[in-house]
Amino acid sequence: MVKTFRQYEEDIVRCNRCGFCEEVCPTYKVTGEEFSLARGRNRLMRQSMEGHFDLTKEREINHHIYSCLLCGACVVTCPSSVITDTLVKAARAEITRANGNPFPIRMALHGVLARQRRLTLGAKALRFYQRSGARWLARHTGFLGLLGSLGKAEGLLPDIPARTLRERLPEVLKKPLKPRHKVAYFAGCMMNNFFPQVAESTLRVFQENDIEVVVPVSNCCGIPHEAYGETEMHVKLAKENLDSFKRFNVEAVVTDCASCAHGLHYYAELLKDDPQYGPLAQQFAAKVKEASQYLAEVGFKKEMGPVNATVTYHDPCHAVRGLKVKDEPRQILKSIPGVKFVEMNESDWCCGGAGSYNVTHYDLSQRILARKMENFKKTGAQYLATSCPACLMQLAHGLDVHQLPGRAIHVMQLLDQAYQNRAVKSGARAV
Amino acid sequence: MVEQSTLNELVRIAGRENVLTSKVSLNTYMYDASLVYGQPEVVVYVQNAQQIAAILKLASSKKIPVTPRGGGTCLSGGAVPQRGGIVMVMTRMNRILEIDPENRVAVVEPGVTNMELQKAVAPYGLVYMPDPASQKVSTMGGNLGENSGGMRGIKYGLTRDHIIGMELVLSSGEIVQIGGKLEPIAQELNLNALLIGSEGNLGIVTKIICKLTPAPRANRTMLAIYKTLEDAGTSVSAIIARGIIPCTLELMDNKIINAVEDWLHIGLPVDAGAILLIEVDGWDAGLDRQAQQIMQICRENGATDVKLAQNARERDNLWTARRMAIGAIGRLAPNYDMEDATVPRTKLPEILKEVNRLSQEYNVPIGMLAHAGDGNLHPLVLFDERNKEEMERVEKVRAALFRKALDLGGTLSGEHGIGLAKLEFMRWAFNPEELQFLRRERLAFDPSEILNAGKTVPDTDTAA
Amino acid sequence: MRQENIHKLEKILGSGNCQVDPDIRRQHSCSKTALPDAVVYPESSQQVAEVLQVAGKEGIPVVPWGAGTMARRGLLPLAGGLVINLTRMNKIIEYDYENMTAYVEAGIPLGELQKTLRTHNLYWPVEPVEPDTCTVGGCIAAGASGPSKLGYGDVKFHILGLEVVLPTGEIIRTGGKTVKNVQDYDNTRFLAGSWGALGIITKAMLKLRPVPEKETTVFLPFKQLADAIAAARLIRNDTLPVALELLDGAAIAVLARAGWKPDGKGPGVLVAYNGFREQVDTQVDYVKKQFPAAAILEGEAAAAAWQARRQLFPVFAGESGAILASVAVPFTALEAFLTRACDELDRSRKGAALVAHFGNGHVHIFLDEAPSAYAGVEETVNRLATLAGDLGGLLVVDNIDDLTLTRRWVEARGRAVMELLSRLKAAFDPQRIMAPNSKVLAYVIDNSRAAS
Repeated sequence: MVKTFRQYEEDIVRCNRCGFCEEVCPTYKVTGEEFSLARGRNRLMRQSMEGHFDLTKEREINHHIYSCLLCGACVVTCPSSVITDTLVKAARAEITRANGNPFPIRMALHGVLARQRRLTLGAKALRFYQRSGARWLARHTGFLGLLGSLGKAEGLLPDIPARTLRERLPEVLKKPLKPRHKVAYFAGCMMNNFFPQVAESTLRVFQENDIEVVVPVSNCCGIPHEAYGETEMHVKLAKENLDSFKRFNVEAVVTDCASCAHGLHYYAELLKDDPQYGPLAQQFAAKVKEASQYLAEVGFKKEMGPVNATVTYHDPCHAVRGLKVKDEPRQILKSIPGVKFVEMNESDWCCGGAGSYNVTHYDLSQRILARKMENFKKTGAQYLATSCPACLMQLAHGLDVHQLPGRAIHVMQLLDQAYQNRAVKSGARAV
Repeated sequence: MVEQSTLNELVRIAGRENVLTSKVSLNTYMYDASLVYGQPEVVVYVQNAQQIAAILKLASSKKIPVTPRGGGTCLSGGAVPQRGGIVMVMTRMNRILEIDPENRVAVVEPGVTNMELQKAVAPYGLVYMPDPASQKVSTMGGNLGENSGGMRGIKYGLTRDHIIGMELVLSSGEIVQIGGKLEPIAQELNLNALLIGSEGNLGIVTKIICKLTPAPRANRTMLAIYKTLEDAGTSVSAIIARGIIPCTLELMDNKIINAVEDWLHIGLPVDAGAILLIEVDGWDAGLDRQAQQIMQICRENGATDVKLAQNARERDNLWTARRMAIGAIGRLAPNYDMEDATVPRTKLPEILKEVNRLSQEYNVPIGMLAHAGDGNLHPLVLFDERNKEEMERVEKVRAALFRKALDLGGTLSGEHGIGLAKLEFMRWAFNPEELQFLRRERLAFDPSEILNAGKTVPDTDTAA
Repeated sequence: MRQENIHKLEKILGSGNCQVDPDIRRQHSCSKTALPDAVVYPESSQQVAEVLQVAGKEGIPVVPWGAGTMARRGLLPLAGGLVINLTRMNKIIEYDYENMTAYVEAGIPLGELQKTLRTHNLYWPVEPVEPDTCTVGGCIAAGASGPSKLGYGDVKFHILGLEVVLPTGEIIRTGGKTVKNVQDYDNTRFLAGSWGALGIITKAMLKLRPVPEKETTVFLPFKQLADAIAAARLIRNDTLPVALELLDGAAIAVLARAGWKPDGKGPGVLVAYNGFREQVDTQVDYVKKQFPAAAILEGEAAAAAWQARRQLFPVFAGESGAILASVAVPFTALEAFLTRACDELDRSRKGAALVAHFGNGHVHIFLDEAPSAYAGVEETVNRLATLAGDLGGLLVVDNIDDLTLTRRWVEARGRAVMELLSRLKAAFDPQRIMAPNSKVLAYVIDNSRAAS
């Protein structure tokens, strides 16, 4: 996003109010409200642009602008291809420029996410909270009830492992004997701190396929910052990551977080007018690949042990619409012997996780998640696979809350298991 | 018009969180998919017939206009609260209440979308036939109010042929049952017929009884390419004169062809004057012969090429131009308006010519789409709605178009409704006695004149 | 009627077109004793309008009339008033075969119309009991339908617009020439089946269909009713018949008297298919495979069978008359209704016969008692009515003057419906002159002029 809100006038007037977005906008589907619909948000943004409202002062408009999942489904369906998600982000940037974000958000974005050491410290504190009895207390004394959406969102947290990915790297990273390729792995905030075991699977899978992996130092990819209109910090993080990665001569920049992948890819657009970082960003973006996308491109070993299970797949928004990655994860899953793959209805509907949306808009995100759970239930699958840790967290929470038999898992974890099972003589070991 | 006491009463009926009065929320209920706007005074989300009955009783006693709204995808202003008052949002009444496959009947709430119903009955090998282009988002209540059509209309009929009953709330707040699941046998006036297409003027529907049809077993799809619109039009007449009634017979003009080709590069001939998308369906036996006959007729009438799909993927390809037509044309200008003047089928070439002429005379680009089989024209008029001068030319084009359609023995609207968008032209289509008669009918249903007030039939005291 | 009013009418129509002869008046009535005061023969819509204006001013009830073939079905006896016979208005104003429409005056007999339509291989798929003499206006006002309503629907599916003279004297047009038309409220289809209670249809825009390439009828004889029912159900679920009739043994016996003798004495199923020859043949072959005893009828044999079917009730009724009861039940309840109804009839009325428009869920029961002696079958009828009601349907008796069953059915729609119908009637006909004896509104309005 390089333009400011007002510069999008020609884009915003293209909405003809046909209402076709009603078919795919999840917030509309669960509320039936016009202002929770892409068309309605467009209307409010346009009315603001034309001077009927002050975008930066109307709290209600702020509310509707922030209730958007940024899932992008409306853009694909719109006959006029109105770029509503981009417009919403531009509106948010405008609001943030005028008012700044509320303190807790600023703290989270600037003080924690943009500082990886603090983020890890925070994660460890949460782990302590989980294991020390504090969580038990918080849940049973009703303390969480006092915290509103945040309190409800507490249940989303996975059990945080003892060590981050970076702390495990010395044991995990092993240069293959005859590497065919060399890639840089981007360790996203969530993967590093909340799901290091998933990242480990990814690295093992790559190394199994004779791909040498280096893991440069990195900061947050900046997608959360973009979502909150923190343009300056977004650009700062982008430049920081570009500087870090340019030191490595690799064929691709790979990540197993679809959101990060999309965010990194976006650097080209974000910095295209920057005289210093523009060309670097173009080069970098051209190398960014989501993990299954990369493996499908360069080829991966098909000698695997069986994983005997029915598996279905949820398309993260950032993968299917952000990167147009849809077939590759399915290709990987279908190549695993023993896997019976079933397609889920509305597999590309947002799960309601949407980054921090399930924390800030817990109730609404759960209503959206409920539809996803309904669809999952109908598949009868044992595994709900995906390629984004944010989705992973949300889907796991959904299975728990709805008490469904099934497990949320990352595609790389299943592939890792398949490779490991090749070594085992009998049956499949549980992942 | 809406006082605090009324608001309090609405809150009592519908619940506080379902009654909206803020500037921002009202702003988002000022429009539908048409070019008209109107500001409501209050927006109410309703859940059931009892709430609607209580609200209507209240509103009619205070003469507060009520505008029911489904998906707000109406193309004629049906969901626009032009006279203020209450917008009654039906989207939460969205349950499919019953599907009875052997009796071939379904009962739905008005907020169910057309496509949701289609998907629900498909597993039984059944179809709900009306397929308006908006079917993925338009609601059954809206379809009923406008007597929505669709591409299958020529063969399978319109909404009025597939809705056999409903539960209705009158403006007095009374709830009545109209029609029913059974085919009528008693001597009764056909109120069901009168209500379908009545644009929300006669009552608010709370349950809809739909007739389901066994799904056609097979189809054949063809795309025919023509040098001129006239040739395409003649083919259309010739096909039907042969006794073949296709389930799809869609015409697209050169502008649409080029818009689609520029965008998607699928190999459409950019010099072609028109293309016809033709589909026949039914028992598989005999479809090949019908398809052959159609292709021959097309060639005899000037088609430069006719393609027949050999499988589902090819069929999908042939449909691309039609499916993407509106999106393609929408890229050529900031805004578009889709009209639906309709003429007898044989007059289609003439009105197509007129549309082209108007387009040139007023310098307003127009792409042409038509349900050619029933003469239902969809000119896609392109403009920038911020340009006042351009809008004036657009209005002149519209008026001339309706004039011509009526002169050719046609109608102002084949499926989108009169609403607000064509209100001023009703005086061209009907004489004062006929309009007065329609007003009397409406008053019989709604003596308080609150239901979608000011739409469909012009008021007596506005100038002719 | 006062002599001065007769003069007024003669002035409008010409003296030959205003008749007071008792024989003519008897031909235009539903009873031998309650006769209209006069019968008039207008030749234009303008004349109709002027007549209605006079009637309105003078408070004279008016009943529109075509060939009168269905009058008994929809009208009660009425003493006095004026009958307006439209048969002099019988022209085809425009036959636009390329558009498949015909704009006709209401008084044209159907047989004549169809003959002209066929010159361009089209026809109007409406099937009243008397398909030659019934007028177009009559078909529309009566909501006429026959066995083919299964495939094509009743008359309202085949009209695009009307010219109507309102009782207040205005001549209005409804609908138009196009299939898709949402300009006005759908008065075109609202007036279909209104039996003259709201206004007089003077012209109609008809939607025509191409004559099908092939038409084939199949007759299936059975020994047991249960087998016939099972067959009919299969045929309706697996194929697309245009007509599907089930007749019990007694009805089959009447068929023979009506001019077509099928094989077998037990119940039978009569099915019609039409359309392109492959689709007809596929379906006929399917039926024949399931039921090897099926007889295939084409051309004249088929025509004779359907003609006999249409004449079933008149032939059953004969000179002494008979009572016709009609039942609507859900399709899935047909088996239960037919089985139990036949049991009931076997028990209480051995002379009864029964025929079903099977695909539509309609059953017609013929009772061997004159309408004047209804009391003799009332108990049976009530039991059948209860049976129908228990199965989610209803029963009405078509040719007696008592409208209780119909009134109860309409009242069950909600109290507001009767009031709404009253208001609608007032919107059309403030002076209450239009066909006060029309059954379709007789139970709604207080009609003190109807004969007892």
